[in-house]
Amino acid sequence: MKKQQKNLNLMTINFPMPAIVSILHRMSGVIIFLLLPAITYAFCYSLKSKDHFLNLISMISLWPIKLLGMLLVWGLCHHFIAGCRHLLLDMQIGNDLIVARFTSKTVLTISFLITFLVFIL
Amino acid sequence: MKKVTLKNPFGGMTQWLYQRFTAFFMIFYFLIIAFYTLTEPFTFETWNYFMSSLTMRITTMAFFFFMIIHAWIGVQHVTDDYIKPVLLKWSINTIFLIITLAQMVYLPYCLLGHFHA
Repeated sequence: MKKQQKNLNLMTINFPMPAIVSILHRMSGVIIFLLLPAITYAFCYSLKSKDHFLNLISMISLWPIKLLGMLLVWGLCHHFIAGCRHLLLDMQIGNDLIVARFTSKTVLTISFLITFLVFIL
Repeated sequence: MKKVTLKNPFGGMTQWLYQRFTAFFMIFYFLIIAFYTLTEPFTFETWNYFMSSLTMRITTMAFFFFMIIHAWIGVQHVTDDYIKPVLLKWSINTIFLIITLAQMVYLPYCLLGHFHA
């Protein structure tokens, strides 16, 4: 039997938009999972007292934490919107190639837009 | 063709269903939170008042519970796809399981206890 040819060179593979959305969905999921202990701790910390709450707010404005926070905001947005798209695809909505390409572009733009808006605010 | 796939509580079909169910729950939870934080001024008083209601505490507890199930299934699929040595995969899975379980213990402690208002 002839061995199947494989081309796994990442530089030459052409990634269509839905593939990019899919892999970013996975990556953002892993990012959220790794930051989950920090999220739970920050959530509990913010509810302890007013001092704790203000302390947390001032901590978030430090740039390394802000950078991490922006990564988290992007990850959450992308995972949320791409997840909604995935659920719609499960219901046979938007399965056509043209529609799927359009929605994947929309997912990417909206998640970046929301992250940018949060960064400004 | 087997038709009893859903009877296995840890089978692929059941995991698929868990992912969708938890996803739906989390969408609604996030919409509630987004609506609240965008309509009310975000200060400690409003935040604490909002989270102190019994409904919100139980919903948040359920949210974190579902999120941890969702995350655990997702991470297992990722390690299954990318980490080929079995021993390494299982040790990483075990570390992740310990992290998630620790959060499961920590959350009720802070959520269902008294807030220091």
